[in-house]
Amino acid sequence: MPSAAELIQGTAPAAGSGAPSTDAIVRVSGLSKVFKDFWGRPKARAVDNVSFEVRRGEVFGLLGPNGSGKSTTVKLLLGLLYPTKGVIEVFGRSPRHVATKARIGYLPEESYLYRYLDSRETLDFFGNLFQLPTDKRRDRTEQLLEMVGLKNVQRRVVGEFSKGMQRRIGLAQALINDPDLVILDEPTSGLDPIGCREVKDLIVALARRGKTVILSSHLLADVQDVCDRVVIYYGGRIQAMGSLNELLTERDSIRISSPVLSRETLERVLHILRSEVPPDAVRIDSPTQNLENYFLGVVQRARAAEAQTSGATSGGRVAAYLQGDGAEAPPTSDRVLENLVNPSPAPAVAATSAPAEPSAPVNEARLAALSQTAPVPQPLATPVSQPKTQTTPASMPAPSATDLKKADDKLSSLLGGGDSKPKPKS
Amino acid sequence: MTRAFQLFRQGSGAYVAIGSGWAWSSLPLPWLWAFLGGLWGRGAILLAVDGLVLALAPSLWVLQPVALGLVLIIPRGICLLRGSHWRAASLENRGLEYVGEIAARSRSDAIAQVARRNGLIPPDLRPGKGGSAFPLPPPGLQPWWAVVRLTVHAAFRYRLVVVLMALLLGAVVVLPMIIKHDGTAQGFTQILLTYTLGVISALLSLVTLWLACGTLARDIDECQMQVVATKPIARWQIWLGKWVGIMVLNAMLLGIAAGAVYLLMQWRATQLPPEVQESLRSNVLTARRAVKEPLPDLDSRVEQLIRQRLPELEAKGVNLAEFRNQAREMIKANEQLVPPEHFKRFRLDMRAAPGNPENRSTFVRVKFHTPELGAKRPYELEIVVGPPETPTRRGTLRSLAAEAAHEIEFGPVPLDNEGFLVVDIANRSDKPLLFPLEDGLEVLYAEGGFGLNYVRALLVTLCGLGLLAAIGLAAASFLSFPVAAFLATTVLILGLSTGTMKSVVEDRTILGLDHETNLPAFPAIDAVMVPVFEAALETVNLVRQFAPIDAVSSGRSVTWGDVARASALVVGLMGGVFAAIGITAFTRRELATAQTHH
Repeated sequence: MPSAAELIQGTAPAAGSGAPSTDAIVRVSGLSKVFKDFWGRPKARAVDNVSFEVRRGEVFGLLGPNGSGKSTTVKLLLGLLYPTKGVIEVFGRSPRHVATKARIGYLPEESYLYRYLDSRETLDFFGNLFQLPTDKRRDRTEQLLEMVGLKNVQRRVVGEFSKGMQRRIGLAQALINDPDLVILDEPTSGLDPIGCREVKDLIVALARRGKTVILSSHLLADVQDVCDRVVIYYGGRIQAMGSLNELLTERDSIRISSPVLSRETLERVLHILRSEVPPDAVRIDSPTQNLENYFLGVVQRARAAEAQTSGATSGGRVAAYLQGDGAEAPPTSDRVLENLVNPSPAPAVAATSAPAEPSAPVNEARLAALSQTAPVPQPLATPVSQPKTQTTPASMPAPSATDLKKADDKLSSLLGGGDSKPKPKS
Repeated sequence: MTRAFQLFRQGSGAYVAIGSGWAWSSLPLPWLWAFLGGLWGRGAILLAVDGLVLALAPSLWVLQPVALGLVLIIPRGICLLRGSHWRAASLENRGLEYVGEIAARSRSDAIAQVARRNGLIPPDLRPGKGGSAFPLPPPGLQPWWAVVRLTVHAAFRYRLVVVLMALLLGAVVVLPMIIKHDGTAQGFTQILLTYTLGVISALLSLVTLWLACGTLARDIDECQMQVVATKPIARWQIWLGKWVGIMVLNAMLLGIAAGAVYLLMQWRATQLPPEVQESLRSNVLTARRAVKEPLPDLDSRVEQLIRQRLPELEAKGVNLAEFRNQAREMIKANEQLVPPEHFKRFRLDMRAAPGNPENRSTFVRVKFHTPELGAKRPYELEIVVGPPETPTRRGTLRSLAAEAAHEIEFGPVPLDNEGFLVVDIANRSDKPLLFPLEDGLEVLYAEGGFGLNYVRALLVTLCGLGLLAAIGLAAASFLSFPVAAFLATTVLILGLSTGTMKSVVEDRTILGLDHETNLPAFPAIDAVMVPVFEAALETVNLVRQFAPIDAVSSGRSVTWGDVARASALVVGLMGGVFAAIGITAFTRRELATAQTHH
C-alpha cells in the first residue's frame, strides 16, 4: 500500500532558491581521532572512521549523546584538533588554511568571548580579523546587534551578560563575515523560546540564501525543525545518516487532519477505515498546538500591550546583509511540513506555501472504493477508542450525495489539490 | 566641518546626542564635564583629585613639579580617551535606546537631523571611515593589528596599566626622598638615576614576563583562542601581535616613567649653584665616549715564550698546558702591575674622536687594586697627560682609594703627532698597584647631549624587555599559565646568576675538584655540563654586555651602534630563537585539548 509520502509529492526546487546542490562543501573521509596522553599512549578514541559529506546549501545536523564524538568532529572541521587518520576537506582545502577560515562562521558551545570587551568592541575585533573595512564593519555591527537584540546594551561588557545574551553575541560574531559555511554548536542553548525561534528562522534564512549550516544540538526538536540531513553519532561512529524524511517517516501508517466532522461523517470515515485495517490500529484525537507556538502567541500579545522587559530584547528582522534580497524568512513551521512530505533531498522552504501538486496519478480505483456507498454504522454505544466487533445493520439508509461530495472533497484536498494550511508538527 | 555623534532616544521620544571619539571638552575641567554629563560618581572623584592638587600645588610645585604635572595630566588623559564611552554607557544604563551614529556640525544639528527623519539615519549621514584612536594599518595587517590592540586593551581593562603606572611613578617620587648618597649633587644624581631606572627596569621585566605568559596562556586555557584561531589569521600573526602589543605597553610605561625621571633630574639640576650644575652636566648629565687601550695579545706572547723555552720545558717534562696557563697569568700580571715609584704608560687612540681634542674637556678614569685586602687607606698616584718631553704635558697628584673608579678632569688635552693621547700613571705609594687590563684606565670625552643619550639607553632597555616578552610568550605557547610563568621566571633568574656560571667555566668543573688528586671529581659530567654552561654564559653575556642604566648614570655614551647591536642580537637573534620556538609550538598545538575553563 503506497504511503502518504509516496502519494503526496513535493514541488521541484525552484532555480536559485538556495536548495542544497550536489557540491560538497565539507568532505570527511575515514576520519579518526585518538586522544593521547603526554607519553603518546592512546587514551580515548573519540571519532572512529567517520565519513560524510555536507552539500552546499543544506542544513546538516550532528546528533548524539554526550561523549559520542560530535563536538570532536566539529573541532576537527575547524582545525582546532588534528585528525589521527583520515582526510577533511572544507571548500576543497585543509580546514586550517587561512582562505578556508575566511568563509566560515563558528559559534562554540560555550561563550568563549573576551569578558572585558563590550558587544560593539567584540564585533569590531572579529570584523577586523576578517579584514572588513571600517564602514562595512560598522554597518554590520549595528545590524547584527539589532538582530540579536543587544542594541541597547552594546556598551555593557560581555562578562556582565547573562548566558543567553552571551549566546546572542556569540551568534553575531559567527555571522560578521557573512560566511558561506556556518557551524553552530548548540546554538539555542541558553536562549528563551523567542530566541530559539529567531535562531531557527535565521538558519532557514541562511540556507535559503545558499549558505551551508552544520548544526550540533541536543535539542532534537530544534534539529528536526531546521535540518535537511542528520548524522547520529554513538561511540565515535556514525550510527545513522540521511535526510529527516528518510529516517523519520513511518511508512506503514498515515495521518489525516481535518476540521471537526459531524458525528455521522466521522462514523462513516471510521467504517471505511475499519474495512481496511484492524479497529485498534485506528486512532482519532484532536491535534494540539505545540507549546512553542502557544508561548510565542502569549508573548506577542504581551509585547503588543508594551510590557517592560530588561536585558536582551527580542531581535527583529534578520540582518539585511544576511538576507540577501531582504525578504523575511518563512516560518519554521512551513519547513517542518515540507520535511515531512518531501522525499530527499529536501528542497529549501519556498517563499510562500504553494499547494503540493501530485506528480503521480491518483489511484482512481482506490478513490472510487473509498467513495462507494457504504452502510452507515449504527450510533455507537461504546467510545471510539475501544475496539468493537464490527456489526452491519440489517438495513442502512444510503449516504446522501452531499455527504459523499464532502468526503470526496476532503480526500481530494489531501491527495493532490486544495489549499490545505500547513501546521507545525504537534 | 562635521564630527560624529552618537544618538540615543528617551522613552518620551526626545533624542540625546553625545560626541564620539575623544572627549575634548573634558580637558579643562573634567569634573564639571562629568557632572554636566550625569556622571556623578566619576565627577566626584575628579573633583576630589583636582581639589587635592589645588591645595597641594604650592608645595608640589617646589618639591615635585613632575608629580604635580602628572596628577594634572593623567586624569584628564583618561577622561579624554574614555569620556565618550562613559557617557554612552551611562545613557544606556538609564534606559535610553541607542539609535546610531550620525555626522553633524553640532549636537543640536545631530538631533534635528534624526528627528526630522523619525529616528532613521540615512547612509549618507553616517560618519565616514576613521574615528579610531589608533592609527589604521595596511589592509593585510589588519588582523594582526587587531590582536595588538586587543592585547593593549586587556592590560587596561584588567587595571594592570593603572596599578603599574602608580608603582612606577611612586618609585620616581618616593625614591629620591629615601636613598642615601655621598652628599654631592653628582653622587646624588648618579645614585638616583641608577636606583630609579633600575627599579623601573626590574618592575617592567617582571610584569613583561607575567603579561606575556598570561596574555597567551590564559586565552588558550579559557578557550577564547579557539574562536580567534578559527578566523582568517595565521597563528604566527597572533603570536607576533601579542608580542607587539606587549612592547607597545612597555614603550608607553617606560616612556612615561623614565620621562618623569628625566624631568626630575633636569629640574633638580636647575636648583643647584651654577658651578655645581656645570660639573653635573659635565660628568653625569652628558654623553661621553670611552677610549681604552686595546687588550694585549697575551696568547701570542705565551706561545712565543713557549717556543723560546720549548727544549728546556721538554727536557724537564713540564706539562705544557699547565705551563701555558701559568705563563699567561704571569704575563698578564706583568702588564697590570705597577710597583712603587714606577709608572705605566698608556697610549690611547683618539683619532676617532670627533672635533678638536684641544677644545674638548677630557676625563681620565682610573681604577686599581692592591694586595692589601680590605685596606681603606688612599694611595698616591701621579697622573700625567700629554706627549712625552713636550711643554704641553701636564699632571696632577691624587690620593685615591683602591677598588673604586675615579674620574679626573683634565680639560683640553694635547695629542701626539699620530693622534694618540699619552697618559702616564706613576705609583707614588709604597705598595704595588694593579691596574686591570679591561678597565684600569679609560679616557672619557663628551660626545653628545644627555637627552638623546637617555633615549638610546631606554631603547636598549626596551630591547631587553622584548627578549623577556618573547621568552614569556614562548613558554605560554605550550604550557598553562602558572607553569609558563614559573618557567619564564626561572629563566630570568638563571640569566641573572652569571656568577655561578662564570666560576664553573673558569674552574672547568661543575661538581668541584677531588682534593687528593686536584683533578675534576666527575670528569664525565663536567665534559657535558661545562660546555653547556659555557654556551649559557655566552648567551647571557650577549645580553648583559649592554648595561644602559650603568652607562647613563655614569655619563657614558650609548651609541646608535649599541642600539642597533642590541636590536640585532637581543631582539633579532635571541628573541628570534624564542619566537621560532614559540610560534612553532603554538602552530602545532591542538587548541581544543586545552580546555580547563569548562
